[in-house]
Amino acid sequence: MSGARMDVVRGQAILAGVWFVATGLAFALMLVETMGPRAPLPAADAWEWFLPLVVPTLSLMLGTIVFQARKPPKRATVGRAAFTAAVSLSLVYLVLVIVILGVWPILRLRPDEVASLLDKSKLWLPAVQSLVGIALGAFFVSSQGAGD
Amino acid sequence: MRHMSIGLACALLAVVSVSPSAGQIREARLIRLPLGPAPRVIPAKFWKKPPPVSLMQGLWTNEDPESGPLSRLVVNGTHLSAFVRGASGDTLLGETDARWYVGGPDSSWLFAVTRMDAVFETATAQVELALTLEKQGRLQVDELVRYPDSSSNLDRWHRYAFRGGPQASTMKLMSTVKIPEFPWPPPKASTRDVVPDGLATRSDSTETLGDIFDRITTAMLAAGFVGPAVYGIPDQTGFVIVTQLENIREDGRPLEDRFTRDPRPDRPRTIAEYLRALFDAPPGLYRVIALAVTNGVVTESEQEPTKDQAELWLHTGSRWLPPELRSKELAGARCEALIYEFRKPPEQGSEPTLWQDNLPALQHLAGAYLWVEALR
Repeated sequence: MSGARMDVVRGQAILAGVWFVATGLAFALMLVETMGPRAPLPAADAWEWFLPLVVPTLSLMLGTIVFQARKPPKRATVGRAAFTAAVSLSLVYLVLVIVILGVWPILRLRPDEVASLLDKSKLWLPAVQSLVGIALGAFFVSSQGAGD
Repeated sequence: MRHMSIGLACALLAVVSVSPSAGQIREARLIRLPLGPAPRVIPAKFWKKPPPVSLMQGLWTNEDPESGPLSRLVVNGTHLSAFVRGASGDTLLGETDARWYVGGPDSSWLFAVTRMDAVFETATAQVELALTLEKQGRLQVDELVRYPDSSSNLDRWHRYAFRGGPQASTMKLMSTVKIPEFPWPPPKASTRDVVPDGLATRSDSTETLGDIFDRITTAMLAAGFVGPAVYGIPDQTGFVIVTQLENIREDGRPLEDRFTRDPRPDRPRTIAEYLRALFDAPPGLYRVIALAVTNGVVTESEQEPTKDQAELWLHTGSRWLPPELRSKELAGARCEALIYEFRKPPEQGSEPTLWQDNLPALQHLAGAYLWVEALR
């Protein structure tokens, strides 16, 4: 049983695009919220919260892209369902991270409450991150080419 | 058919128009108590229970027995008992908890109960009473008797004047009480300035301290302050009014959580405000305004007050100006605004300290909605 398939390199490029754009936005928010002279977030705590949320996935993506760049091009495909799941879960996860970083002024949270919000999100955000990791992993596993 | 409808309508109109006293009854039902200007009502959220000073407390008797059946009133706290004259002496009309209001014709009553409304249900009618304390110490009582629609009686209204003994002693008690004195010379302020003439004080007219006090408390009430504290000045040369501790922004305007102890940042209303909130956490800023009315020289001591001390000023002061000071005329009196602004850095655990900022005192007043015209 084989469903619709798409080119794996294209899928990886789209996923990498989603991740780098969203992470760039979150990174910019982090810089703004922690680096100014009257920055509302405690820098050490905030970066300690943020980096483990995105760096492993970005490293994996970048590593794969760099590794493939050194190999001769091969025709490989991936199941579209796996791709859709990976993109959807990635978007949900990244939007959650950005919302946490950007919603607190609207909720009228005080700086100490924002720090507490980041701390509390550590309880459930890694669970979503795990799902994203599995979806991305499945995406790579589902790729199949003539020689693979 | 159409002619029949028109005929029926005309017949109905004729019956209504000749019906005896129909219009009279309808008019009587519309009677409203003529209470005059509404009192300055302090919102109930600021008063969980009635203020401690009730000038209406005690026994009141009708001055003119011919004015109507109501003979005596007993006010105990907010509980009201009303008596009517009967064949065998006074009989109880009813007892109930009255609705109460503070404020009145004299602003020294600003924090005292000076008006009460109550409704009594009797077997035949509903009696509404409105008690208003007048400046002369009399109690004006308006009585509206409402009869049910089925009754043939017309609603009626009486106005009475009552006299009360205990109330006079309360007034006397108030006149002999001394209010606490403000630290003099006042503690070091963030900034201070004289309020322009004509706003709080008027140099072109002879006025009593009571007049000035009334003007200032009225302006404060309009600006949203409730229950400012009043202090004396040594040698009875004036008084000081201290406001509640306000949470303010850096431009002198109050936060949305103006008087709460643990304020939240304002909700951003524009994209620009939102973006600013993302990178700029303003420090906690608090303000206490002390208005000193005196004809003497105002200086400051070197002692810097703490935020807690300034907050305590509200609680240790009086709520009214004693009659002795009220009636005093003070030539050349002027009002000086002392601004005490405290700044709490955003770092956790830091304590707020007196803050010498660049805002002038009059801008602080305008920011607190007090005499905005002073800036023009």
